[in-house]
Amino acid sequence: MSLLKGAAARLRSLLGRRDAELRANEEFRFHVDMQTEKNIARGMAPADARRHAFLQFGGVDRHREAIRDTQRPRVLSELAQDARFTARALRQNRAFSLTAVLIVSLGVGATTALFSLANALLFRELPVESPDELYGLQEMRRGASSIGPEGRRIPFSRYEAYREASAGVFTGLAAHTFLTLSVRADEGAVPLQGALTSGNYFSVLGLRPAAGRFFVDDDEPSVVLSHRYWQRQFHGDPAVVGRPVHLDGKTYTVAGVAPRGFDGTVVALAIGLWVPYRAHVATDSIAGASWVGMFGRVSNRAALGSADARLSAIATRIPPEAQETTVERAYLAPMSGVPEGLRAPVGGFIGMLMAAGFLVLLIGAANIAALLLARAVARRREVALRLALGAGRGRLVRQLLTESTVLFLLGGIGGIGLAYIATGLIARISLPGVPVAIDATPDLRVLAFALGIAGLTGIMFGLAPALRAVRLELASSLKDGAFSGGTARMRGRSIFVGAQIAFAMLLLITAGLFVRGLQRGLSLDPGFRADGVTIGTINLEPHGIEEEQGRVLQTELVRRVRSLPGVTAASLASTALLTGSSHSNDVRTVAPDSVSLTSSLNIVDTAYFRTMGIELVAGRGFTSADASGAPLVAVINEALAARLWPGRDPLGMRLRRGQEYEVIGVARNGKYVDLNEEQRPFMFFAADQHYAPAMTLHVRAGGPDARIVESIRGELRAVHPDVALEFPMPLARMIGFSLLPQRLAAGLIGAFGIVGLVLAVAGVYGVMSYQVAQRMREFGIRIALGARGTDVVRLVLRGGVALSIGGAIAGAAMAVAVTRLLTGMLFGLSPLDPLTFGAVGGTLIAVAVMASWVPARRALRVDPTVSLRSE
Amino acid sequence: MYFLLESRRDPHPWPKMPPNTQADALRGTIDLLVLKTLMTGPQHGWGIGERIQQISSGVLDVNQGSLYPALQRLEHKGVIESEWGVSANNRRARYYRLTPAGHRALGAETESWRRFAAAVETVLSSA
Repeated sequence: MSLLKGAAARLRSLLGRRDAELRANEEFRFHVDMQTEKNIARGMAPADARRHAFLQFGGVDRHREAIRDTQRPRVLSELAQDARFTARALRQNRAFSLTAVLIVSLGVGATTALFSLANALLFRELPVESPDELYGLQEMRRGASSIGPEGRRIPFSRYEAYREASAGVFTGLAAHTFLTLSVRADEGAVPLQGALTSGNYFSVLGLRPAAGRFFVDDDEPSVVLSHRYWQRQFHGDPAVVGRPVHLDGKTYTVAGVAPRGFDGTVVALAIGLWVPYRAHVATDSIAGASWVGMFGRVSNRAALGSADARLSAIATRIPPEAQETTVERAYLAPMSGVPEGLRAPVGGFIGMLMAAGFLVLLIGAANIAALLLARAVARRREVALRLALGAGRGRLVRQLLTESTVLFLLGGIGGIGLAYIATGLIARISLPGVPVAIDATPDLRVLAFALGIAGLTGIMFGLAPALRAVRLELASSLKDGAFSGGTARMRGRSIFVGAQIAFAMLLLITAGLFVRGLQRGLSLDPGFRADGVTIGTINLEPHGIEEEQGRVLQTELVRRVRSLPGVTAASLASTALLTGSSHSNDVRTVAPDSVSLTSSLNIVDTAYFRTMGIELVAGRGFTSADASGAPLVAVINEALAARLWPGRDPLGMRLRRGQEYEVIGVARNGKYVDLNEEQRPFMFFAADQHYAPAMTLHVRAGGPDARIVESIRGELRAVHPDVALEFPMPLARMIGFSLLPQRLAAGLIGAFGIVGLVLAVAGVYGVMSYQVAQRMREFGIRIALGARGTDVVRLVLRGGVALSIGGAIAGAAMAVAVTRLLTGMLFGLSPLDPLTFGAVGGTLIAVAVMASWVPARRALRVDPTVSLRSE
Repeated sequence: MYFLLESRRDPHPWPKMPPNTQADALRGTIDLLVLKTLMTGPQHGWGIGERIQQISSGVLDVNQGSLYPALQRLEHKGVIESEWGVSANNRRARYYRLTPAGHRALGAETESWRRFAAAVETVLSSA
């Protein structure tokens, strides 16, 4: 009842502030009048009496202000009070506050930067109109050799048939494919990531040009520049619209510029310019490179239900491009900026790094909690007094929590600053062969994440010290002396410190595993010599160069490059090894009991094995005798030989891959696609017998890479001015990039681990110092009773050692539970590698014991007479 | 890490309480005295102040005006209520009186005050 009344009064007061003011004025006046009368009755002169009455009443304004305060809803006014209190507290202990904020900033910054990356790569929607209305259109196909959803890409003519037939489902259906274009510039041709698209591409995406207009027809000879490329190449000059550009030997007009922030439909892949498909490719070639993917806008949600059935009907009506292919059905899948199959591994990897960053935050937070605990203990008398005065425990806890939360939120803000810096660095990441553009700038979601984890950790780690502070027995605390420090209190701190050691252990073991895995990966024998080889790709296909002329160009280029000074060998191959790219086919034996399997392959010229230093264990490599028209030949590796003809001599055997080939040589096993692979079957075919328009030049030379690349460019320009040398670089560097995830993980988690270790050691040092300080009197007594200094030191050290070993064991146990997940990234290193576990554990325990050694020495300095007399 | 705490000039690393801690103590006292005064019947602000001064024989000669925020606060808590009335000298005055909750609160406050006084006594006698 009274509660209701109170609430009603509060409500009234909120609504009727004006009334309250009037009422206060009247009451004040009444009071002063009464007092004046009383003063007069006591014999003062009326004027004096009134002045005196005002004096006795005190500052009218102050009282009015105090009344106003009571009218504010209580929670709000208390919150304001807590905030004031906190601000004062933080200012008063600046060193502590700064350190705590810095520690939280580090942890939050690391976690948040990684979250921004995940946000940019995985969560953010495409910057187009209503991205949730966009669906990819895919086909389920049954081909000659394999079955499955391989219809993500189809010939453009098939897309044209779809576009006409599917108007009932889509508001618009677009097609696109990615292609490296050669742009003619003053210094020869320069490669640029482009996209060939249908004319309606931009209208389906619902974009607005930043300058000029978009192309609309499939065969319009105009291009759209990306905002990024426009800025970089033309410094944002609007006059670029209408100017000609030369791509792959054709001339286009710049129609317009895409809006800022739109880099294409695949996250992190920055398209430089968009070209109408039919303007660039007159007739579809069956070679997969020119096939397109389809996506469409479904504005009518109701159409979604029957869409797959209707599209499948269309799909089966359109005749497939090859006799042996049948299209079974078509279906929609929500369009995503992340290629299917990449989401899980990328998410997992970033998630792992994020977890490591969060562990640093937890370790740091444990330090801060320990400090807050120490302060709570130091303040117990004051808290007891306040409790005795009638302050509610809940109110006190809230006040203490406000402080820790504000501390952490400040750290969160610092963390956001660090994350901004880190994402600035992420934006500058460049990878060979892929024009990367990751805009990981923190957005609202990231800010909310940062403040969220900061606030949550603040509450989590502030709660224990706050509860500790108010969990007191009044009488005993008011009388408290030094002896009642309490072992329970120490235990709370020790648990924090033990957890710190455990987390640091987990981080360092993970980092250690990556380092050892990397070492192992780098020392693996790939079966060829990458050192001294420079690579660069030349693609003749988009230039409309036919096989006959293409062969002449390729041969001429290699001949010229071989004669360059410093070059010892040069060769062409369809794929560069260990760059993550591969091409594979089904092969089988021709014998009646035919064995069939899928094998990766490479099409190479006669100089390849010598250039790469690949050892042939039997037979021979390709010669100029293995020309087109001559019997088809193949070189296979030991692994493929063992699979096709186990226990028999493969030389002279015949394998079938479409046509029949004679095996003329066996190459030693190596690594082909990436260093982490299991032994992969591999086969080589002769370039003279298989023309490939896109070949990678492999040049073995002494001398600086940059000069070699320049010389190669010069020769290429002489051979064909419009063809660009795509992504030239030392092969070893390219391979190094394939180790990027491991390097990143080793570097980042290692750095996190070291920060964690430092924080944990500070924790150990702190808790041991505190213990020693608390027990000085006890040590004094022990020494007075005849204990030697070393006994006391041993006593203290025993605690520190137990703490370190306990923490290390807990950390090792956690590591055993989680490092299994890393198996696929460690080049065969066991995720329970005893050397890593042992070395990390040993180091950690040694460092932790050293950290407790310093305070333990302090116990030696105890002077029994002094310590007994103190307090 | 703990050197951060140890090196402070102030032996108590925790900040001093804000000034209104003292006010807190006083506030508790005033609340108690107001409730006690109103036990005898409704009274206006000036009358309450006079009565407190009388009972305490002038020891608690507080700033008279600070009574009003206290009254307001107690009214918000629902332990007292107020209405306009006519004073002995025939003027309009705001009269305060205890609610049933106020009667109960008086008991509890008295108890807590005695506990506090005892605690302070213990501190003073042990230090």
